[in-house]
Amino acid sequence: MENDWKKELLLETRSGPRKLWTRPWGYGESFLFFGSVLSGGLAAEYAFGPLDLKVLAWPFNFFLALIISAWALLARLLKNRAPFKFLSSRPPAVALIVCIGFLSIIMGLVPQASLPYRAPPEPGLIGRLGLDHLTSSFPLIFIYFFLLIALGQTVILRASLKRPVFLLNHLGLWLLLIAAGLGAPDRQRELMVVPEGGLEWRTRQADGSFLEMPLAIRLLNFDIDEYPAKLAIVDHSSGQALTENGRLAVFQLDPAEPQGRLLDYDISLLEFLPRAAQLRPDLFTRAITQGTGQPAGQAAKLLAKNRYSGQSYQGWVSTGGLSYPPRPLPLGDRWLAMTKPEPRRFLSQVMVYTREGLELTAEIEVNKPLKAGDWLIYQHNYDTLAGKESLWSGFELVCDPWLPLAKTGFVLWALGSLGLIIFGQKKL
Amino acid sequence: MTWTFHSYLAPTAVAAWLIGSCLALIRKPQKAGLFVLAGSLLTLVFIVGLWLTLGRPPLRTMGETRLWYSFFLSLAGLLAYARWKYPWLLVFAAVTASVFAVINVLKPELHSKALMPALISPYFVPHVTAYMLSYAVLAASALGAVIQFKMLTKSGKSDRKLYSFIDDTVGIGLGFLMLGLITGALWAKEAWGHYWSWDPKETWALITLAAFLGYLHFRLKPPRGFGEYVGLLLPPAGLIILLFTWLGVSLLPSAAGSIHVY
Repeated sequence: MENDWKKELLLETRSGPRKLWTRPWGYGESFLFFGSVLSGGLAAEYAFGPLDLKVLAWPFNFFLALIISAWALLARLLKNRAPFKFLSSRPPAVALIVCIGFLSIIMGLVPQASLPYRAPPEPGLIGRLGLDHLTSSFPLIFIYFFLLIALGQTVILRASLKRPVFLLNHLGLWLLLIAAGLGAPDRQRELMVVPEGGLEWRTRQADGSFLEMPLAIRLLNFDIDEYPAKLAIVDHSSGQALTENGRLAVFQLDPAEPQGRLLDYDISLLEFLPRAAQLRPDLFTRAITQGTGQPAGQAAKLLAKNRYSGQSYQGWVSTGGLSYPPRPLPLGDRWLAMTKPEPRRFLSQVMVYTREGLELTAEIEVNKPLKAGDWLIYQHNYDTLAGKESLWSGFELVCDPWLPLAKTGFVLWALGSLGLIIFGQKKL
Repeated sequence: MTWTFHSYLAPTAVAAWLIGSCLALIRKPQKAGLFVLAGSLLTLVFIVGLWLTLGRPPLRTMGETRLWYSFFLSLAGLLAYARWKYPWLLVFAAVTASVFAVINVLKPELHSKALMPALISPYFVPHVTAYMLSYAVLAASALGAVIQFKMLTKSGKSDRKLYSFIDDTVGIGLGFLMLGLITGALWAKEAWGHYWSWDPKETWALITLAAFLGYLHFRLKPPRGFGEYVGLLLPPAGLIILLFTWLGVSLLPSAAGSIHVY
């Protein structure tokens, strides 16, 4: 190998600048080659129209993965043949990266249609070339295919345990891209809406029909855990909240820190009710609202003392609930009012049953999905009008049989990234 | 420690950074380093104080990420200066860190204690800090590439030492960039069910990655002549895309509905 390069260099210096398409191919040939692949993709998209990714679903994608792996093994046996030598060298790697950057720039600038893509009756040129649905278009699929081929044989031909950073980065990325790309048609996402107290095992499809799932969810309770509200001061005449140094002046209520300052007022929190019921206009108590669908607001009993006039004001302030309006505390020609509380957790208490006889009791919340058999169950939505008293909870059910491979890829790639930071490129 | 305190602390840090820059330019490396370090430490004290006051990591708002950027950039500049001895490195890092600190004084945003549910995750801190670190390091490599480009056009010759500086920083910055992307993907899997959704911020992060990844591969077999010039444009182009990813994506029509717009 080493000698080949030297010979090449010698030849080059003797005969002046090299001509295009003389072996080994360099940057010029690489850009022309992948430029042609990209153009071929655009032409294919124009000629054959949008591609339904579902045609690549199991087992077709599995055979494709086998072909890509077989190509890589073939590269090992025939490594001195021109196509293998070319695809595992650096110039085509740079050209491929540039192609991916180019396609991503288009994707970043042209708003993309949602998938599965359905062509409008009279698509414009952008649509005909696939530029508004790139993720399921021929140009991207062609480039992606060559990326998998090139990465695969690069791993087999160039990686060795002596260069662990190179191996981890390329192998990790290869496995991840196989799982993410070839696995895409096998990924299933369904939305299931479950009423509180009810049991559901079907999901509604885009055409209005129902699909039976291999699992059932019973919703025991849905709840939103909120942060305590903030206080702001509103001017009577303008109706605007007052600002301080150009920012909205707020005081974060916090039972752990009951004392504080808001503009000219010293604030003391005397009592805080995260779920409040209104007994009289000027009296609140703890609400028992669970399961009623009636949203309860927050309420706080406050003492506000003006620092300059020394005047004190005491009373209740509330965000307001479904059965009572928001309540501010009058401070002379101003009001002390609560802002809308921000959510801390969206929480569904559920029981999940699978066909295999698995029975799980769990809490599902954002960032904490539940695994049941092959499916992951995510908190998706709720009745936003009823807020924390929502009588139903929406779940997203996701099944991705290629996920273990993708996660393996992520882990190897992350180790490779760490290696690049610690050891630098010298170990490449 | 609240943002009110920042109005006093930031000018002090900026003064330290600028004095440090001047000292580096008149070749007083040790004193220069001490002043820049003092500015970084002041910023760190404020970050830690803010973290304790807020009861959550200050990584959520644009203003908060600018704090980290100032801190990491000044620190990265200092380390790179100690290793490579180029005064322009320290000056660039200190001036950029100062710009971001001044923006935070002049254009404060509403800083809230509450963290929305999607952000409450163990991936949050590594995701944002990895990105801020990579931004800081890659900014230095982009500047190095611009200087190399100028040198090449002027004298027709490139500086080997400068190349190894650019290559090293691109390697390190790329490592952090990839870690940011990977932690983000794993987090997205936990939060939304998929590790890659072609959200505009994700797409632009991929373009950033492509630019620096392209440079790294191009340097492994550097072309001569015209190709070398093109290659040297990749890091600065990458930096522009990176800044757009960070600050500009929300302006795009394709960003409507993105979960990364804040």
